[in-house]
Amino acid sequence: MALQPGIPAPDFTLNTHLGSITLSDLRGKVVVVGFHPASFTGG
Amino acid sequence: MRGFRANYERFQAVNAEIIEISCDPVAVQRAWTASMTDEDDESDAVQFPVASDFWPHGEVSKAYDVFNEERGNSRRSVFIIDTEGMIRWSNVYTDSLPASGELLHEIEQL
Repeated sequence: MALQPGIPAPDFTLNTHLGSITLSDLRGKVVVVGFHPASFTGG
Repeated sequence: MRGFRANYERFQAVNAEIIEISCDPVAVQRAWTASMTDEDDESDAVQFPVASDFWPHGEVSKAYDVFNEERGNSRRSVFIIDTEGMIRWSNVYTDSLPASGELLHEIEQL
């Protein structure tokens, strides 16, 4: 379960509260991608 | 999420950006981030993107293999992606929250 280290991160484009973001646009930076079950809960 | 927010400057200091994702609609992400923000203080805004994986529902969560098919939402998890776009660390949290200190330590090891 969950992608493991050593493979390329699947690229994505998503809408956010700050506008659209594309993972591959952040190449050159380390990116911490966090998933949570539901907003307005523990987050 | 709250831990990321409290430590955002420390992540920035190690050349890291944060993207937080759930399967909620973007209107919910806007409302949620606004609810955490003192509207009279611009510096209090949530500075990293809180993204909506609502439609196609859970598509990105599925791509990272953290979609909970029973509940229709994302499993609590974190992936550290390096400057070349490779996954270098990942974890699924079943009964705890991501710890910023641990993540910062892992980033410093890259």
